[in-house]
Amino acid sequence: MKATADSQPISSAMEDNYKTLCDIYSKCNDIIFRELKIGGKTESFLVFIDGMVNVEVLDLHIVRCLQHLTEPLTNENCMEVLGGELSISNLLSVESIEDAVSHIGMGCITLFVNGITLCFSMGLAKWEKRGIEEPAAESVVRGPREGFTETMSVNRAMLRRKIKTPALKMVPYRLGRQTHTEVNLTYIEGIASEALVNEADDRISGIDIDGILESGYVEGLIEDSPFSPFPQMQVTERPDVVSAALLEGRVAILVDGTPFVLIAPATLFTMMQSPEDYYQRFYIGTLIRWLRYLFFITTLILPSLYVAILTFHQEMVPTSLLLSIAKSREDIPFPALVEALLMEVSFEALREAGVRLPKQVGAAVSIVGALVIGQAATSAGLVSAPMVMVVAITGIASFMMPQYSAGIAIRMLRFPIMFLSGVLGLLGLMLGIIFIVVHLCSLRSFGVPYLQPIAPMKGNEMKDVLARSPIWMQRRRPKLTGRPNNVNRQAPGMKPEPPKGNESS
Amino acid sequence: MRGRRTARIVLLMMVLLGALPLAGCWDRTEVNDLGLITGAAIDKYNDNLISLSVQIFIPRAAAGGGGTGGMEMSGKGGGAGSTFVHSATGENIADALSHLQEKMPRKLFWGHAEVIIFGEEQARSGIGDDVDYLMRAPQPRERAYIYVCSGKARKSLEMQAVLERDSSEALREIAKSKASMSVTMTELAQMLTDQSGGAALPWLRQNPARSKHNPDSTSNYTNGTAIFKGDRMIGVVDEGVTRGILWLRNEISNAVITVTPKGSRGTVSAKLLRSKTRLIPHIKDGNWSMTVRIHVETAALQNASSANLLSSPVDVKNVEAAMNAEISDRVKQSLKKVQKDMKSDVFDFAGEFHRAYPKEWHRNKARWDDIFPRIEIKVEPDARLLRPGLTNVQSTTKAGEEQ
Repeated sequence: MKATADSQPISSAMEDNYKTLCDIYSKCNDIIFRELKIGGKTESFLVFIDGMVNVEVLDLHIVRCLQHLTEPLTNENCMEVLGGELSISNLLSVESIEDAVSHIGMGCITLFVNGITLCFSMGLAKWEKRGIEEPAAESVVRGPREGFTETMSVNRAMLRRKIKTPALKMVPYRLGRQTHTEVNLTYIEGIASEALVNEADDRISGIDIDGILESGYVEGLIEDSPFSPFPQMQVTERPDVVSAALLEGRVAILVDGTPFVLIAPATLFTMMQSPEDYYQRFYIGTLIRWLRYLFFITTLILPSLYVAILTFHQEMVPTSLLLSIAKSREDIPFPALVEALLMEVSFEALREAGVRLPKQVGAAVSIVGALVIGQAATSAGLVSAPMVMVVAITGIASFMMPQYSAGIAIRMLRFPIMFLSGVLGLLGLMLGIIFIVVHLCSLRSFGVPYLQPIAPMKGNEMKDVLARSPIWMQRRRPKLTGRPNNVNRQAPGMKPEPPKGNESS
Repeated sequence: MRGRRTARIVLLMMVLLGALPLAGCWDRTEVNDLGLITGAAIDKYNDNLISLSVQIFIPRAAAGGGGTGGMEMSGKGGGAGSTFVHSATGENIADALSHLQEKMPRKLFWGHAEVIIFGEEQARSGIGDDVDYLMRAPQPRERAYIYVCSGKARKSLEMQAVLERDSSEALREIAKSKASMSVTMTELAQMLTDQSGGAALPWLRQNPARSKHNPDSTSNYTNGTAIFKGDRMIGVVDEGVTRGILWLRNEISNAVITVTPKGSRGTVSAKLLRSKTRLIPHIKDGNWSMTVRIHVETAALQNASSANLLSSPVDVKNVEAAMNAEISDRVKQSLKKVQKDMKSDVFDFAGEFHRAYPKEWHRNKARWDDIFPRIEIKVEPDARLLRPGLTNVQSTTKAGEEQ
């Protein structure tokens, strides 16, 4: 008894095939064997997985057709005969048991006929799937509201519907020794540089693991610096974000079974851009971007700054502010550092609990949590009111990052910085910041420096980082790794203006 | 191989992190452990000792709501009783401070001392040593405002402020408004160390008590200037002279000039928009003289006279002339008092001469005390009325009388 199939050819004796498959699928309750006689005389059987095939079509168009088939089947004419009789678009012939098993696994119906050394795979996969919904974590006010689903074919179709050019390539891989998960490397030929595509291809082909359950597995296996807290690939549920990345010359990696698509290469600044920046007017896009940069820094250092200044540099606070802080801190038994840690840790716990809990309970928990953190802790004299403010601002700020994973990274990093500033004051705070900046400078994502275009400086690309320049100004694609081809993405002079000349004419 | 390297890195990190708490000391200072000094006063105690008084903020008294603290940070609590004043004597400030610290449960923190007040006696016997400490010690702010006060400085500190949080905050706000003389510690140190040998500090006088029951309920009142020669106070000048000093020091920023223009009845008030004073020194045949050019731009604030500022350029000229006379008067008055009587160079004429005539200056700097009172000073005010206003609502009687 063996669980996996060898590369064994299909025998002409149907009983042998039947026995082999039965062995392979022993104790698999979900596999259905259906014996039937083709044209009332030729022995044959169908194999498929219950719940993964379109049973209606099978019953109506295949079983009946086969039962009424008159022409005898031979090794030579079988494909023509079956192709002529069966109204199925996706019909393949398969030569080995192994291939047959893999087709069965994908939800195909396989037909074994007595006396023929081929089997026929009919692509009638159909299973229950979730509809297309708005991605909850990446909602926008203006912009498409569809999100990827768990089904690869649906996701691919969504992309193809946005980018109709045949240059949009989707290279398939099967990863996972047990799961055989389908992974697609997607790029636009002629826009993505070949070096990037080859590198991505190399990295994905090198994966050898039991199972790929989510794109996070792939990300963890192909990223450049696995120990870095910062994500080096952008993750999104939105087809429009993926399309925009593809049009910039990036590659996307779709993984079957998850709505989350990986985009590479990514920089720190792509993590801080939301698709909506581009859909709204550019002034507001620019302002919101700067707001994000501001709160990115805030999340990282605000609690540490508060701790450092309050425990080491009291002279740096304006007098009136210090006096009012002194008033509210008077009854607090803890040092500022302990106070900050207490609050930040309980905030993180509340956040995590809020994510995990069912929606109905979540609201209750967040209300109780807010009360516990905000009101009760201060009136119990455990935490001072300014600290509540600091933690609240930090908490809000960390959710401003459009990339959840990048937000997590900075939320995590503020704890070591808090320790440093609690021990060494502003010196420690600066030490922590320097450490992070040095680390960011050394990061690369698929060969692209993580801080590009700030470091290394790329003047031309600043217009999409320091500001969100109007669409007609973004003439050139950002330069990523490798030799760029086809750098212009729009014709010159796209700035709209009314026709010049006399108004009356 | 790879796993071993990772393990080694992790081990190294743990050792490094472990080193931080290993030292066992944490030199943090919580706000709860600080006695926040909001103001300081320095008085003469006897011939050898000084008395240092500090005003300390009481956070507990200020936190409203009966001890629960926390969220309800109500507006009450402020004002009365949020600070107290404590004194100690010593050879000098450092000594007195250490004696003061002995009596205090909390560490004294100078970082927020907003004002430093010298008592009159202390000022008369010299403030150089005190300024030395205040400049040398890291905590006291160089931007603290310095005052000299009549009588004991401690009394000024103990006063209750009505509008502000405490008396030192009130004094700081007054200094910030620049209505009168205001000198920060840096400026004082500069005045004491430059070649002029003179210094000026705002003079603080206490208003008489508002009621007999509560003698503390009064306020400080600053209007004059204490004139120093070297680091010793030699006298006090009144409000008018102070104005003149401000004009000469190019420090006037907030003024209303009220004049009676020639040929009309009543007064015109003009608000100062900007003013610029230039001191131009001359040495000719051993005669030292100084031209003071004061360029003033004003806007009419109130016209209570019969002059028609809107349509009559002659009237405007008259107002400007009257303003020139007024400024010239003020400046000459203060020159007479400060230059001739007190002989203290608080205007830093010395610096001007040094910059303009370095060679002559070096030859004569030893005689500066003789030269200074004899310098001839020419005042050239140039006042302009830039904005006469858009309407002219005049009292009919005055306009009628004119015709």
